[in-house]
Amino acid sequence: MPSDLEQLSAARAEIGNVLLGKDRQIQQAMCCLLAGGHLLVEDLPGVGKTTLSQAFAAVTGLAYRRVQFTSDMLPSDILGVSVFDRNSNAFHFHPGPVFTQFLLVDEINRASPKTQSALLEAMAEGRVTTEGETRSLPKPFFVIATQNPWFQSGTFPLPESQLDRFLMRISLGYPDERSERQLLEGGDPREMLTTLPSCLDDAQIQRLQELVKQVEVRSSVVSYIQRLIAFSRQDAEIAFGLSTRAGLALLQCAKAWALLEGRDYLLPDDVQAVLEPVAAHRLQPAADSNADGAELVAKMLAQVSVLA
Amino acid sequence: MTRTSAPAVMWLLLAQLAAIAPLAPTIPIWMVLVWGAVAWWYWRIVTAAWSFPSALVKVGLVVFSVAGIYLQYRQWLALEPMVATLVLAVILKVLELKQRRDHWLVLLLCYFVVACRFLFEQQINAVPVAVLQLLAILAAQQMLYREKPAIAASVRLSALMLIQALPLMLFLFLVFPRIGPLWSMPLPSAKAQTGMSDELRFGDIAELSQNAALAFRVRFEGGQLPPPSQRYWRGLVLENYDSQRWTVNRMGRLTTPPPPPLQGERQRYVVTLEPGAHEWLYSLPVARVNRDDIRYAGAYQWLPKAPLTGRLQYVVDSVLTQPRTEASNRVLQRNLRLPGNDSPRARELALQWARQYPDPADRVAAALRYFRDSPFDYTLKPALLGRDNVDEFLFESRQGFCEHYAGSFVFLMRAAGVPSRLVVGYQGGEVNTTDNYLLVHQSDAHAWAEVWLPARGWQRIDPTSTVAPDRVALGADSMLSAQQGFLGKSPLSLRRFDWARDIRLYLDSVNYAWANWVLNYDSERQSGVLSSLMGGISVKRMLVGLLIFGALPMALVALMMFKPAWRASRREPALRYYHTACRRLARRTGLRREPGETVAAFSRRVGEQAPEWAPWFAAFSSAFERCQYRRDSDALSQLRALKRPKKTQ
Repeated sequence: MPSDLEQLSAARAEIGNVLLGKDRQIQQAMCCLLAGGHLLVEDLPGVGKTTLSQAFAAVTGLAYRRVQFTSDMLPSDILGVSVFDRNSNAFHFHPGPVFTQFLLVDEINRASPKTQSALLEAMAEGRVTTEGETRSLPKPFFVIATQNPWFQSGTFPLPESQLDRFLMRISLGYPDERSERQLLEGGDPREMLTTLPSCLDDAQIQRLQELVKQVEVRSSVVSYIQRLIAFSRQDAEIAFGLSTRAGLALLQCAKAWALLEGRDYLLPDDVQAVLEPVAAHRLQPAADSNADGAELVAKMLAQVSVLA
Repeated sequence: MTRTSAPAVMWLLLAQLAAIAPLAPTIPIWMVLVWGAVAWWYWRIVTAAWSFPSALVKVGLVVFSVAGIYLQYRQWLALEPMVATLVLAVILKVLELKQRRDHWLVLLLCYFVVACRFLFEQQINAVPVAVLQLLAILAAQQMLYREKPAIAASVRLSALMLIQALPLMLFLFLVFPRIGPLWSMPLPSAKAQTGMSDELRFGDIAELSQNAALAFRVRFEGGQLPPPSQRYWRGLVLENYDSQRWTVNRMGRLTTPPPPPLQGERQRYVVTLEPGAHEWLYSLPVARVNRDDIRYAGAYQWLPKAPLTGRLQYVVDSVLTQPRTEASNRVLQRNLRLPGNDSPRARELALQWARQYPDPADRVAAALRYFRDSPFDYTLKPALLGRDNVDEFLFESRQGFCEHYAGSFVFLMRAAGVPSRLVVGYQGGEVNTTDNYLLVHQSDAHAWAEVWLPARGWQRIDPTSTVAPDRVALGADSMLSAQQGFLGKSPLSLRRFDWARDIRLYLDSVNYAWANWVLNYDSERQSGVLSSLMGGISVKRMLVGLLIFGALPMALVALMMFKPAWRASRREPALRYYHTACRRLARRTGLRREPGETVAAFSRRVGEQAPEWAPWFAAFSSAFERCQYRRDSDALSQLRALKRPKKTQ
C-alpha cells in the first residue's frame, strides 16, 4: 500500500497534468492545505483559478462546493437557513454551501462586508453559529477564495484584517509559452478534470497535516524567522511589520513546504519559499513608499541574514 | 537608580586613595584626613545608616575646603593650589555618588589625578607607582559591573587591559604631536629648588650647599671628562656691588653681543638641567650653544631668551684653553666700581698692595697669600656679619664659605685697582662610572672670582682653593663630610659606603637614560625618529596616519559589535567552520554568499559558477545543513573533515 507521502506526490503530479506549467503554485496551494489554512488566489479571469480548485477537489477526494459571490448575497446564502417544516411542525436547518470539506468562493470581493465576514468567521473558527446554534464544519475544511484585484468597481475589497485570515495569497499568472501551446493543442482541460483520479482521502490529508506538525524545527531557523519579522517591523518602507500570527503562519507553511519537499526537518529555504505567499498580503507599504508587498518581500529575502 | 554593591564602593574608595596618595608631597596633608572622613561618611551612606548630605551641608564643605586651600597656599594662580583643588573636588564628589555612572565619573577623574602627578614627579620610579594606580582604578571600574566581587580576576583583567593598551601607548608616544603648553605655570617649589639666584649675599651658597638635590647632568662626547680643576660650571657673572650684595648687571644683559668665536680644540657635551624654571644656563668657558631660544649675554654667559621651564637639555661646545680677552673700557670700569665707604680696613689693605706692587698680577698673588697665611676657616656655618662685612670677615671672624672668600677677594681686587668680578655656578661634580657622565648637585654650588690682567685677559681665581684645596680637588661634599652636620640627615650621607654609592649611581644612570629617551622626547626628536622611520614626514601626514591608526581599533570594536554573525560564529563551531570555509572559497573563486542566500542556494550557485569546487562544497554544505538544522550527531565531525576546500579537476 502506497504511503501518504507517495500519494501526495501522485496527487501533485495529477494536478500538474491539468494545470500546466504551474507546479510552484500547485505546491503552494498544497502547502496551504497541509498547513491547515485557507488560500486566496488573486488573478485575472481565465488563467486557471477554477481549474486549480477543481483539480484539487478531484485529486484530494474531498467534498467540493462552489459559491459565486455577488453583491446581493446574504450570510444565510452561505451558512444555511432554518426552514419551517410543516410535516414535523418544526424549523429544520438547511446547511449552506459552507458545510463542505472543500469550498471554492469565486470573487469574494463582490459580496457585501456582512457576507464576507460571515464566511471569514466560519473559516477562522471551523464552525458556524446561526440562530443560536453552533454547528461544526467538517474536517478538513479548506477554502480557496478568488478575487480580481484589477476591476474593483462595485466591489468591497477585503480589509487588511480579513486578508490576514488567509494563510496564503497566491496568483497564477499567465502560463509560459510551452505550457500554453500544449494547452491549446491538448483540448479542453475541463474534460480532463472529469478523468482525474482521486489520490487522497480526507483521513490521509488529516494524517499529512499531523506529519507537518512533526517536522523538526531547530532554533537557528526560528531565529531566522524572528529576524525576518524584526526586519519587517524596523524597515522604513513598511508601515506595519508582520504580526505574531503572521510569524506562526510562516512557520506553519514552511513546515508544510518542508514536508512537500520530502524532508522531515525545516530549512531556511522553506521559509524563503513560502515567505511571499504568506507575507506579501500582510505587509502594508509605508505611505511614502511605492513598493508593493512582493517587492517588500524580495527586499526582506535579500537583506535579512540567513545565518546568525 | 542602579545601586552599587558594597565591594564596588570599597574598591572605588581604595582606587581614589591610590590615585591621591602619591600626591601627598604636593597637596596639604590635611586632605588625607578629608579623604578619610568623606570615605567613612560615604560608607555610612552606602550601608544606609546615614543619608546623603543636604545642599546646605555641601555648600558648607565647599566653602571650608576652598578656604583651607587658600590658607595653605595664599594664591591661586599656581599649579599646586590648582591640583589641590582638583584633588579636593574628587574627594568631595564622593558624597554625591548616587548612580553607577557617577561612580564611573569619579573613577575617570582618578585617571586625571594620576596624570597630574607627572607634573611634579617625572623620575622613572614614578612609573611603577602609576601602573599600580591604574591597576587599582581599572579593577574598581570592573567591580562596578561585577555581580560578585572577584578581586583576583579583576586585577588579572586589569593587567591584561594595561598590556593591551601598551602598543597604542607606545605608538602615541612616538607619533602624537608634541604641542607646546598653552600657558606656562611655574611651579612654586621648582623655583625654590633651582638654587642660584641672580644676587648673592654672604651665606647664600652655604645654605644652598646643604641641598642634596641634583642640579644637572653632563655627558661629554667621547667620554673624556675634563680634570676636576677645570670643572667650573659658570652660571652668572655678578658685577654690581652695593656694599651688601652682589648682583647681575642688568643693563649689560639688554645688549646681545656676538658670541666669541671658538679657537682651538673643541669639547662637546650635553647638559641636562633638572626640571624647574631656568633663567640662566651653565657651561664651561669658553662656550658656545647653538639653539634658537638661547642667546649669548656677554661675559661668557649664555641665557635663555625667555625663561625655559621643565627639563632642559642643550648641547655646548667649549674650548677650555681659550684665553678670554673680551673686554671693553666700560666693562673694565664697571668691574672696578666699589661704591660706598664700608669696610675701610680692607680698602686700606688693598690700597697698600696697589702702592707696593705695580703689576696687577702681583696684587692678586698678594691677596691669595693673605688668604693662605692667615688662619682662615672654611665652614658651612660662618658667623653672622654686620655692616662692614668684608672687614669683619677678613680681620675678625675669618670663618666663611666660598662666597665669603670670593666676595672679599673681588672687593680687595677692586679696591686695589684690578678689574674683577664674582662668578657663581657649580664646581666639580660626581662622576657616574656606570655610564660615564657627570652629576652636579646643588651642594656643588660655588662662587669664585675673575680678574682682568692686561696681558692674559680674564683669569679665574678661586680663593677658596687656597684656603681649602680639597674643596676643588675632591668636591664639596667629600671634603665637608668630615665636618659636623653636613648632609648628615640626607640620603647622600650613604656616600660613605661604597656599595651604597654604586647602587645610587646605577639608579641615577637609569634615571638619566629615562630622562634622555623618554622625558626629552620632544617634537624635534620626534620628527627625527619619524623621518628615520618613514622618511620625511609632515605634521599633516602624521595626523592622517594617527587618525587611521586610531580609527582602526575603533573600527574593530564596531565590527565586533555590529556583526552578530561574527559573534555567533564564535559560539557555534559549525557556523565557524562554515564561515571559514566560505572565506577560503571566496579567496579562491571570488564567490561570496549573499546575506539572504541560503546554504543550499549558495551551494547551487557555486555549482554553476565554480564547478571545480562544487563536489566538495555541496558535501560540505549538506553536512553543515544537517549540523545546523537537524539533530545529526555525526554531521559535525563530517563537517570538520570537510572544512578544507578541495578542488576537483
